[in-house]
Amino acid sequence: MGANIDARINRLVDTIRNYQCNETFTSLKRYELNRQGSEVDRPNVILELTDHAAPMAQMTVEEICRDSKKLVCSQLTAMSDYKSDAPLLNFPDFYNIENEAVGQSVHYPENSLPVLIEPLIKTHKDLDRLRLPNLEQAGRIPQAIEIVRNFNEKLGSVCLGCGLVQGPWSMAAGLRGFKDLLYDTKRDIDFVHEILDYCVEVCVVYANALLSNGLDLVIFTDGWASIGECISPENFYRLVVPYTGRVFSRLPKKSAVWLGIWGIRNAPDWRDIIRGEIAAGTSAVFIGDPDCFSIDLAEAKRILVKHDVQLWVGVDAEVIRFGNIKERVSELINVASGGGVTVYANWVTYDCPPERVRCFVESVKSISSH
Amino acid sequence: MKKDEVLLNLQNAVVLANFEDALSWTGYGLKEGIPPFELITEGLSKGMINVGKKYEDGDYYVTDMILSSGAMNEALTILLPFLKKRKSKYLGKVVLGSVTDDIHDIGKNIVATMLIGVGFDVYDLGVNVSKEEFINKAIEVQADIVGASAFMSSTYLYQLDIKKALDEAGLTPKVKYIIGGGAVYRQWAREIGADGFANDALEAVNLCKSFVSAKGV
Repeated sequence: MGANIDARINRLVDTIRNYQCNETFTSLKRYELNRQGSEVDRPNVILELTDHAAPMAQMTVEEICRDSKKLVCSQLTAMSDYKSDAPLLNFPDFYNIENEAVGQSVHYPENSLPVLIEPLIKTHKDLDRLRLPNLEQAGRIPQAIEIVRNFNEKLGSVCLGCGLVQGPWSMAAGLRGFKDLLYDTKRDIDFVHEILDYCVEVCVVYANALLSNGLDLVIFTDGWASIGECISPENFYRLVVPYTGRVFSRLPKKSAVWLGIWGIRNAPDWRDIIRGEIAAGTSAVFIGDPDCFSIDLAEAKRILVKHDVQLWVGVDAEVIRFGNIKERVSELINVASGGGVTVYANWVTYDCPPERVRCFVESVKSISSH
Repeated sequence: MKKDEVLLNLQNAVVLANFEDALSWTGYGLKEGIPPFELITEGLSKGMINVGKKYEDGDYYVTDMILSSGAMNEALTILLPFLKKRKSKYLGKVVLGSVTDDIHDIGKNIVATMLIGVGFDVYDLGVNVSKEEFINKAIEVQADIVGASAFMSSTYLYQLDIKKALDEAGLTPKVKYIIGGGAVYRQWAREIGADGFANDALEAVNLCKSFVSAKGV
């Protein structure tokens, strides 16, 4: 099985290398040009495939969530089929790697993403007991680092390498339990700050380990910091921005993207949320669907360009699964055209028909090159 | 202190998500002889209705609803034992749970709290609930409504299994089946033949109310 899977991965690497080298730019080159503010042929297209990729590689979801080679094989299988630009180099669900590494239990269903079983921090004493993860043996972190190292060796010279980790607020939500963390903002705010202090340290150690092993971009996904659904704008500025900013300030410049903050349209002024993200030091701001269709995206882009920050935009999973893909992509590209843009499909559902995913990727490529 | 004042204070505790006040005014109300059901319907529930209105008006976020339902839940821990004795007052019976392999329950818990608040008899089966557990509980309590929540892209498929199991057990169309959760779309509800889809807790409550009023429960 070991040699067999290695051979499969090597074949997939060849396929991906070939199609990337046959384009005007490889995804890595396109990303670098974007970062320098130069014009590119089209946006990079990144797909968050997670469990969707498992059946494509004839694997269970549990297998790809536990075994680094199977994860890589599944991601590259999907990527080579869909001709997307960059794989996501970490185990899904991205909201439990760090937590598992510091001692929280994770349940691995056979055909669903792993989930945290119960909060690790129930009392102040629980927090006092926690230490920083040992990168050589903590949970799946050693495997995650190995994934990045191998990817860098095989495809690092052509293909953009992105790895998803959590922001401190989301990590805290997992450790404490989201509901209790939220209740603590009312009941015991000092406790919230103490938990966040700890999470900052874990995030810094883990992200730097991934970057030093060859990752190009660390994507901090922070769904628990979604505006309105999970946190009020006031608490976003008070509890999320400063702590995430502390993490970003301790990473190499322009190496972090902050992703997964949904609901910016719900804020009294969405511009303030974007400015908060910029202030934290992100190299790109993600504006997902439906936010990107609910605000003035052109204005958002102008704000970002002014601060030398890139724009990542998305199309909703429901649209990719059921909707009019070409129309939606066209609408998006019309506004978010030009350099500095990446199209990120934050979720391709498990049962989404492959022809619809292909249609999505092809639509981005063809519409943006017109 | 007058009864109305106690109830108003209880409402405010919920609206402001003041956990401590919700508990203390509930305890005070009981001590003053206010019936538990009234503390719920005229105090907590009215507070939650105000929260719902604020949400609909755009003054409150979902996160405010979670906090308010948390304050209400604190108070309910004292009141629920009394409630169980008043089954005749219920609007209807609802069996709720998160589907197999899914342990996400925040949204489902808000729905449960709000349904209790408006007067439903709620049987919350918790998380990672199998189709058999849904069906057995629905038969056991003679449920009017079964609600299944799924948060993940790979778990919402279990909502279809529950629909099939309800059909096979002969519970449809008598028992209404509603679905919701982060991974679920209205289109999906139509595809699997669910009776309803709720995008948030308020929609779920309104849906349940519409079902029982149509049935004349």
